[in-house]
Amino acid sequence: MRIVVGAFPDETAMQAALGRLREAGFNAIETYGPKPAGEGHSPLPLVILAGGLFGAALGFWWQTHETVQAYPLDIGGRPLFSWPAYVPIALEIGILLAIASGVFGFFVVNRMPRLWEPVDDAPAMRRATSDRWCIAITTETPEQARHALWRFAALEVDEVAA
Amino acid sequence: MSRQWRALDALARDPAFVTRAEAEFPMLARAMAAQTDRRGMMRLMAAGLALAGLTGCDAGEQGGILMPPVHPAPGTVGAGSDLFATAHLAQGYAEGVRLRHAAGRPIKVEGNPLHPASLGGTDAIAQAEILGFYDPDRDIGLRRGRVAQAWQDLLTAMAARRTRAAEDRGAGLRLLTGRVTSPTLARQIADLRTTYPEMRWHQWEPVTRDSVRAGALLAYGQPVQVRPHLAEADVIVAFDSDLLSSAPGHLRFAREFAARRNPTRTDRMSRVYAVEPAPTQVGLAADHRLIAGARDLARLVPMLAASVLRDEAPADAPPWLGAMAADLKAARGRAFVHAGPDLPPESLALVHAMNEALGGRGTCWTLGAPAEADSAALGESMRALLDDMQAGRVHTLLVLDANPAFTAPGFADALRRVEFSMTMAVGPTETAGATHWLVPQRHAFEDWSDARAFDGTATILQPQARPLFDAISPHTLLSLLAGPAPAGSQDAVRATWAPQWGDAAAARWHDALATGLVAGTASPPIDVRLRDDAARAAPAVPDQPLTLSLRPDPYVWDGRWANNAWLQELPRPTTKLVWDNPLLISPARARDLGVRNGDRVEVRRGDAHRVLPVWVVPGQAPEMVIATLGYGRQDVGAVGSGVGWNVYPLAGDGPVSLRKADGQDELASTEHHDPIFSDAGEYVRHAGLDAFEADPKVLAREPALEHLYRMHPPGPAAWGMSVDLNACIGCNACVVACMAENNIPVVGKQQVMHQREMHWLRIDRYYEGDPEDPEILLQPMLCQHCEQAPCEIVCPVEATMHDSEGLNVMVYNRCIGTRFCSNNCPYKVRRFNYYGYTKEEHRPALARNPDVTVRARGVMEKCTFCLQRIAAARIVADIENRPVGAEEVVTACQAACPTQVFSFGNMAQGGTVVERKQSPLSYAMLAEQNTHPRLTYEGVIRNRNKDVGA
Amino acid sequence: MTRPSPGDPVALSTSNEAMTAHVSAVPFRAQPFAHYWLAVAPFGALTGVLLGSILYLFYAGVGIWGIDWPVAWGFALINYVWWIAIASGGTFISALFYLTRSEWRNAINRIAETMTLFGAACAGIYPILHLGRPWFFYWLFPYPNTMGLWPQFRSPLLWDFFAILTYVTSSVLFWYFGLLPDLATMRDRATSRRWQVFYGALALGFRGSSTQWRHYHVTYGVLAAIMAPLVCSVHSIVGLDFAGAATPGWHSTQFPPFFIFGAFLSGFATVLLLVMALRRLLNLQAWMTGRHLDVLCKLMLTSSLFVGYAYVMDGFTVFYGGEKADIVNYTARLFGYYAPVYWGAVLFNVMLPQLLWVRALRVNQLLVTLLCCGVIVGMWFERYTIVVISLHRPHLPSAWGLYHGSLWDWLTLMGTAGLFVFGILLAIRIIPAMSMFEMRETLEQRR
Repeated sequence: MRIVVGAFPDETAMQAALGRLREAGFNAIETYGPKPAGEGHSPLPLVILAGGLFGAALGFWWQTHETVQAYPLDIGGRPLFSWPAYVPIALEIGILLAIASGVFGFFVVNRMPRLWEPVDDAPAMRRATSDRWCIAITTETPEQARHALWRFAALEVDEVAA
Repeated sequence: MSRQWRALDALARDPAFVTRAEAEFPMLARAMAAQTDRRGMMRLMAAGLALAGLTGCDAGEQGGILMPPVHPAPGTVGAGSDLFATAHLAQGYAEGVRLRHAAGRPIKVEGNPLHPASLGGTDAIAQAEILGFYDPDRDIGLRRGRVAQAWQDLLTAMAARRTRAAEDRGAGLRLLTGRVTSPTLARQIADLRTTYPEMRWHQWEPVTRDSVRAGALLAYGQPVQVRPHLAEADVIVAFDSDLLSSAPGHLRFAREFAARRNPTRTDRMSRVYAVEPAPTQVGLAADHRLIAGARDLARLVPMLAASVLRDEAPADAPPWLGAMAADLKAARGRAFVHAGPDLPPESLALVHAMNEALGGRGTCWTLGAPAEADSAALGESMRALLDDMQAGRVHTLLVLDANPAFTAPGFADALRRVEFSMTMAVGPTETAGATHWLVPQRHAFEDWSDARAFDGTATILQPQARPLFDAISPHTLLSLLAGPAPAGSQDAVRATWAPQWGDAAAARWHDALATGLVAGTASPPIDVRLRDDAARAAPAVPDQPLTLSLRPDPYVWDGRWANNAWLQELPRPTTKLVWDNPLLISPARARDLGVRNGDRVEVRRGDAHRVLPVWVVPGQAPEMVIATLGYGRQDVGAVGSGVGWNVYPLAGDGPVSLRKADGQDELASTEHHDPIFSDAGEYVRHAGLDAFEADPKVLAREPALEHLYRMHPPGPAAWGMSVDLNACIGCNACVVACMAENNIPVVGKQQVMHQREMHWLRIDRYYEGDPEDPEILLQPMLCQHCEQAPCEIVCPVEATMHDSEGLNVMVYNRCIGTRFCSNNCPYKVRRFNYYGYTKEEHRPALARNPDVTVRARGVMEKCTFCLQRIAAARIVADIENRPVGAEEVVTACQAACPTQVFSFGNMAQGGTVVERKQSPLSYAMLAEQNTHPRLTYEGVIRNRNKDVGA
Repeated sequence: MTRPSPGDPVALSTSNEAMTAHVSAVPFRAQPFAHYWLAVAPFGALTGVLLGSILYLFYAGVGIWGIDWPVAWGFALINYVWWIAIASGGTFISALFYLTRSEWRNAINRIAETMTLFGAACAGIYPILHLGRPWFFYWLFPYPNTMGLWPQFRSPLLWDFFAILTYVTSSVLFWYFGLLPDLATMRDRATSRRWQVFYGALALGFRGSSTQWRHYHVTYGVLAAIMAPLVCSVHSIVGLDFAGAATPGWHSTQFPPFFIFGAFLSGFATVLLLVMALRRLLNLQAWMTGRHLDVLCKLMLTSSLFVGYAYVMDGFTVFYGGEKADIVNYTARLFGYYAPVYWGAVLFNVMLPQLLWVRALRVNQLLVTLLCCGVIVGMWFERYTIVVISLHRPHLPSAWGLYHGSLWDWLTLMGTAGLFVFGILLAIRIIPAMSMFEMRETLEQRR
């Protein structure tokens, strides 16, 4: 397997090329660009919600458990189960876990950290984080892919081992 | 502040001491060679103090207690605490006390309920004496000049003096003492006088009370003492009176006074008028406080006398005088007039005449023989001595328990003409530095002696520990003047009493030590007729517009307690000043001079002048300027030397001038803001007696509070306290008792100026009304032990919490010092260790109460209701399988209070505290905060005479 | 360079490559701007002062500070609240205005977040130093100890501990998450092996694939949506540190929003100061234009009005409630010993910012700098008012007293100011001072 990478000057050019490549039957395609592109489905909001709810519930349960069961103390004549006072900490723990699960969930979903991938060997990729948009085609027939990319106005085409 | 205990370390390093220790305890010497850590050092110091006692020339009596180590050997069983009776001497008069011993060492002074001058109460000075006992500056050693001497040298020197005195039959031999009530000392002096017939004995106290004596002589022809029975008096008029603060027997008087001050507990509340130039403790508790300077007093006393004795109505009398006289006369047989020692003898004679005319003799007051061994006019006695010294008629002078070089101007000068002088003193004094010899005297708590109370009751003082430092007894020193064989102090005391007791001597000796008094020694009332011309005495009215009055400091007194850090840092009753003695002036005079607190003024009388800072005292007579004695000592030890200004040189009669000087001094007061004159009623609730009689609930203002929740501590006991503000006279005995009991550190002047004092218990003083003549209200303030404590809920680490018996508990070990609890305490009763005060104090560990944790730097602390005492009672009750009794626990403040302001107890068992809390006067501080304090106050009721304005 | 004007576009038209090249080059340069070391030196020295003061504090105890018996909280709490407020303003810009799709926010987002980080660091030091026994600060943490004892959950201080813990952790995560694409850019633009490895490790393999971007975009949006209320909750809880107490002057239900208003104000002022300084020092005028100054000034003005409202309400509730201790306390604030501090706060926080109503003044950089400094000082005064003036008049007159910060208080305060600037100066040596990937979107929209 080989990876063929073609670089485009802007997103429009890349999108145009991408559509035509798909039509041409290339399926294992990944694109790279220097700015967020494309809306789409992601499981992460749900992960974050779950993390937050779990954190808040855990925080509340834990405070209740310590004050009511594990070590009940008379503090200022307040009821042992002073639930309003437990809300701030439950909220904060919830937020902490939500944000942590968002960030770490992102890493898990994207299988990060992965410091090196075969596609990185393509010199064109060096500018994919600045001002170039790249299309990487993983294929058994690199010649066809190179040809197609050149045809769809890639500025530069590289081929690396997958 | 932090230097005060250096001397002890020095002792432990003293090569001579090490040698002595080596000889006696080879193991200890090895330990000392190896000592490195601080803990080891403390252990060593404890041993060292004990050893120091062993090396004295009189090693103490057999069977005495050796000072036990602070860290007992493993397996040692604690013996609990015990009380041993002795007495505290105030101006020579005995106040019965009992010393509480823990682990075998005295740690706390308590009153002696059996003693007539204590009735169980104590004053601040007596409470603080335990600190004086452990004062390392007492270690002065036998010295001649500045050179240390061996005890053998003293024997040699005394032998030479005996020879010299025998040559002139004692004509050149003089003995100077303080006021002496000790029968043994008196007996020894009498014996000396038989040996040396021409020897003279002088007595000197800077606070002489000569005027009182002269007044009695004028009135009765002999120096009788008036003994008030204030519980019987319906109307009391006090002219600049020291009756409740320092008069001999004042603790008893205060107790009897307070018995008639709470209308819920007495059928008839007494009515008290205080006529005075500056707030006294009578004035603080009086129903009417009337301001009068020395000149006014010299006119007012004869006017009142004219009114009482002859039913005259003096034309220029103030409007209230007639009402006061009418009140007195209406209470015939139950009226009492008292005048303080600063009034002239003629005024005091008039007071005697009025009392006789009012017919209270036998009920309200009696006359008794003076308790002194030899009642003398001290001023004259000192003048005679000075004359003789100046004239070279004195070759040998022995000074015992007096510091004339500091307190008697001219003494140091005259001393140069004396061939041989010797001072015996408990610690360093200016006199000791000026005389040829210095003989260290044992502290009263480590020696045998005896003394009489104001009413003649004798107490045998028994040692509470082996002497801490190398010193001897005054009885021993006097015996050396009589003959070559030194007498032990116990032998001397026994020799006084045994002949009187005959066969019963052993039993009576035992009883006297156990009870703290010798039964049957109180002198009976004497029957002596008033001299006719007493009623015609006419005090001279001073013609000066300004009167400078020199008064003893309430706590440092004439300077003798200047090295006591507890007393130095004790807020003065009204000024709240500590560590200082500024000139006290009235607000009006401050305005005239253009000065504020701390500004300097120059006071001049004759050739003497002083530049002093001023302190403005609301309620002081404008014509009066008051300077406080006892400060400015130069040679007293690390704590008191150089504190304040010496005003003794200003003594005299000449005219006084006052002018503003340049500069300012920083003064330390525990009231950290300008006085506030309004709204005091919110905190100290008060009302007139008529309002109270119309509606007993006159002080109740609480609306019914609604609760979201209300938890009651479920424990078997419920601790509570009630504080009767009617009884409080602001004496501060409770504050010192609290410091002693709870190992509270002093912080020093700088830290007090920084508002970091550590007192767990303070007495708040509020002014209300006109700054020139305010109502003054007092309120002891300590942890209120709220059932719903605001401090607890804000602590993030549970360092303060509630126990099941209703105590607000502070867990020092858990405290990380967020100080949120202090911020959230509405009563501001929490104290914080900003520095390691306890550690810096360098107070020997063995002087502390072993039952109370000392607190580290960065930890919050506060009143615990004497938890250690509760715990002790709880243990006893558990052993006996019963609940703790209602009044089984007595807190330190409660025990010390002479007027029984505090009542404390287990409310689950009923008792006094429950009764007092049901009083209609009872209220909780800041009740609207919904804290439900376990401490409540009984508000102040003033029995005003509606015919007296204001 | 032309003078900035409120009518400036949000970014001058430049190419992606030009912008990326300019911003990414800063860390690689030997000196990010002329006289860089001259600027670093004094603030580094102040950071040293901070370290020295902390060491002495640990040696001697909190007694070296001015705190006393009625005023048991002093500079430590004032500075803590002050710094955390400054920090909060940064999060607010980066999170809330992300949600509102405000395009001006992209250029200054990085500065704001970095400021948050160091502001929070400065703030975070104080609660620990504040303790009487700081070496036991971890007792606030719910760890299983031998006594089986847990913290006391009813204490606002504990809420605060958790709030700060959450806030600092979240801010670091959010900042880092927002930095990932730029770190990838830096990795790919680095020419030396050293920098490649450094940024490569930090970028964690972010390479701008469409999958990564898809998840990234969604996650960043959700995180921003959480960060915005988080910052409000944190500052509310800081407000509860005071409002949760029964102390006069503190016991007020409006404290949580009041503290948030203050946080906006001081945060915006500090961001504005930094933006004005950095756009000039790092030559970022093409992307931080007059429009940014204008917007930030408007925000400052708005929050200043909020703060003014809170001041008025503060007085209103006191007199409407009619509790005596509160009235005494409030009167002391207006006319007492510390009145100049309170009126200073009113002047700097409410009155002077009203100048910003004038459009031309909003881009007068000298005036705006002075106003920002005024607001920052004024907000410190406000904290001083809340902490000291409230505490010095407790319920009982017997406990009234005064407070003055000691030399060590001032040294510690200046030390944290040093740490703050020192930290930011170091940060711009390492990270791009502007969010490059977000700027690309802005530039694209401009085109």
